[in-house]
Amino acid sequence: MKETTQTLGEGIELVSVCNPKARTSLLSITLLLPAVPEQFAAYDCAAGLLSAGCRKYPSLAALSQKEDALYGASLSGSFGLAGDVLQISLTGSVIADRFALEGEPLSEELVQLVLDCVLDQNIRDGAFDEEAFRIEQREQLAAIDAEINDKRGYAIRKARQAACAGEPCASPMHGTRAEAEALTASAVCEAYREMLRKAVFRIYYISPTEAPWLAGKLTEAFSALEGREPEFTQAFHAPSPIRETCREINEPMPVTQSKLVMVFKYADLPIETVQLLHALVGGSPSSLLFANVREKMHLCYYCVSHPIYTKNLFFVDSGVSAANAQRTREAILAQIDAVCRGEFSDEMLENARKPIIDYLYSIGDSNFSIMQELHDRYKWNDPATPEERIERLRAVTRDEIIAAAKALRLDTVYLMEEQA
Amino acid sequence: MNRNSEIIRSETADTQCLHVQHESGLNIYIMEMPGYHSAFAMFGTKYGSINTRFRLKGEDTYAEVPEGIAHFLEHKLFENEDCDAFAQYARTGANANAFTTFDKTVYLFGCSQNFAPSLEILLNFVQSPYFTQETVDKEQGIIAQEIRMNYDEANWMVFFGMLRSMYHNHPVRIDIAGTEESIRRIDADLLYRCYHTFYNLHNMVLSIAGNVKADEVLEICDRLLRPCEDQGLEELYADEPDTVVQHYTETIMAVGTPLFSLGFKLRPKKSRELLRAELTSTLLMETLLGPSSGLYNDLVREGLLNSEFEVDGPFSGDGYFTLSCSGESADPAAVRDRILKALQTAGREGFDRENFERIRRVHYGTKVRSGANMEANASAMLNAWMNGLKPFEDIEVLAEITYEEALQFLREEIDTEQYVLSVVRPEGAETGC
Repeated sequence: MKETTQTLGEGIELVSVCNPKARTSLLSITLLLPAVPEQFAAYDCAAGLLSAGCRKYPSLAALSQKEDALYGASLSGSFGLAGDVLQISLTGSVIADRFALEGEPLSEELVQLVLDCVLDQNIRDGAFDEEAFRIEQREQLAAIDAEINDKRGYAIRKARQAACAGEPCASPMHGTRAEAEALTASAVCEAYREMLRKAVFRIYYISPTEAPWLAGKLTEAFSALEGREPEFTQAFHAPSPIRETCREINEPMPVTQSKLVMVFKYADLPIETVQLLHALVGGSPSSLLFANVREKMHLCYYCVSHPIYTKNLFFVDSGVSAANAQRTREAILAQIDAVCRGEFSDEMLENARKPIIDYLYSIGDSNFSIMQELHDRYKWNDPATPEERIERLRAVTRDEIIAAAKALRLDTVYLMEEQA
Repeated sequence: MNRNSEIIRSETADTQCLHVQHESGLNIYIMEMPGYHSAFAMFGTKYGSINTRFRLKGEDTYAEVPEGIAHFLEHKLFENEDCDAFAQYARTGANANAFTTFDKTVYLFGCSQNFAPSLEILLNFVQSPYFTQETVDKEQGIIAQEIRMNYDEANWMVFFGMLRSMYHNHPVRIDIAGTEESIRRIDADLLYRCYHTFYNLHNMVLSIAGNVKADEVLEICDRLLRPCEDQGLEELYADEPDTVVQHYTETIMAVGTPLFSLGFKLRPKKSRELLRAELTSTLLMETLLGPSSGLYNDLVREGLLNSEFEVDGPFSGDGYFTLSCSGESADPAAVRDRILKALQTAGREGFDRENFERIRRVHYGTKVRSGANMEANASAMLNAWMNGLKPFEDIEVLAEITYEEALQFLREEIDTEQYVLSVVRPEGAETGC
């Protein structure tokens, strides 16, 4: 695979990869901004509008018909945090030109469509189209109301908000209901213009053929942006401060199964060490939590760990009966204590490495994985290739894993407790 | 070993696979994907939650087993006498899993290294059942928690609410995992009985796609597959009327917004007729209700739907065929009324031919895209065999379906009287129903 990086302007960088075996072309434009919670509601609404239409395709119907005509091209937006950096992305994907039934230049059409959606929105007199705005605002309010529908996701979110109180990631990503209700088409337009003015743009293009036309087309489109003042931020790694005492939250809820979430924090550790600790403790069906808390003690259907590397957080979550919640909590702590005491075999450690290495070898098989890999390199300011990361992973020692487990500090325990 | 084999090719999707009728009784599909690193394998049996009444050749009466036993068996099969399969996979680094649906159970793994030893693990553990009453008892607690977890899943509850109100007798109305009561009736003997009935290689398929060599796969199969005799399996389903049980059902749950599922009961079909009906109905429903349709955009503009709305894929199998759509709405009854009216109007007056052709193009694009995905390819080959079809038949049929055929399907197959609206709502919410 051939990879090229080009600077198209201040704070605008294109990374393109030619992946000959791919059957699709992908273009992703990511806006990076400092995370300011007061802006989340307006930015979220503006980000939603990017995938709902543009000047050329002013309604969702018109945009959907264009996507359909491009053989089901997909446009998907995302809005989230990496550390204390706000990431707003629009990613488009289309089948490769060679599959077009009438010889259409699908990749070029996709690039134009994504550019139209990001840079040329349907704005008049300093405001988004009122109807489009109202639809998006309703989407946002519905998303806020529906957060409770997914009980496990809700529990994890509540635990994170408690663990990171005062940090951007503790704030609701859609904003509060009151903030979303107070938005106007002109306020969201102002937020959109601010995003375009202040954002650092990362553009990823992955396609089976080279695209000599791409950089020129993008440069021309971005040069139309006025008043650019990119705010460079590198706060991708923003560890959450470690507290002295553990915070306990118990939320009664009319559910049939309780949700237990334990949040641990740690001081700086290499990513590969935490990856390996996670795989050993709760990242797979051969992990300690699965083998002991589920299979030996039969306390739950799932008990898994998941780290957030950008915040130095290590979550463990499980669905349990309320009567077994305390026992499950003790069992989870006992497994982490076992790692602290070195009570795991060398074979278990070697086995924990394997799925991570297996994944790293497979990155080139999917355009989406390649894009994630490229962005991770940027986020961590670490140019290591997957092969180099595999070497680092292989070099993590048993003692480093024990030290990492000892570094975990239980910070927050959240329990959604079942009520009849 | 003797093998009958054939290459099956799709010019449209620019791909091909090898089909082998193995002497052991097993059907094997292999798609070599040069240039890729990963590979994906699925070993499946035509045994799901609906297969609760059955008999073998020579047996007079049908056995009836507890609901949820296929799923229970899936859980237990990972455990061998000396070591569980996950522990074995841990040594190869493969990412392994399994799932049970209404009509199949599939064991699978994906990996980019150590494919051969991982395939050996898969073939070995699925052919080596080991159940004791002690391990069965242990599993009941774990599965009870899985069942309880599903009770809190609003999307799951709204879908099963729809099925329970649609089917009078067909076991598709029962949760795949069964109930806490039904799984308590499962014991080791019953598991062995079901295993020996349904895990016969004549009732199974192996499907592999990715960075593999067919010769190496077949060498492993020759070595590890244990030949079986076809036992003449027969299954029995209770008679199911064409009518629904009731038009409306609701469940009160801790949710923030009401969810709904609107389903239509169609006459069940089999094999190629089923494939054609599935593809026709998919094109039709997406044309009439999908994101580029006039109705969807009207309902969004009026605040009756949001982007959570989906036209679900056809839900079909032995004795059941349902079309449905689902989403969130403060007024599901109003959404139902508008959709029923739109279907009736389209049946009388026809619908947008241009939009229909665009949707067909979307599906062509979807097939092309999935050609790069090992899991999608393995899954497509496995599903084709499960439905009595050849791989890639769907691509041919998709190209044949005309607007006129879709209109005829709408007029003759979709009876808008036979609908069910299932709603999950928070306490106190008005739903207009």
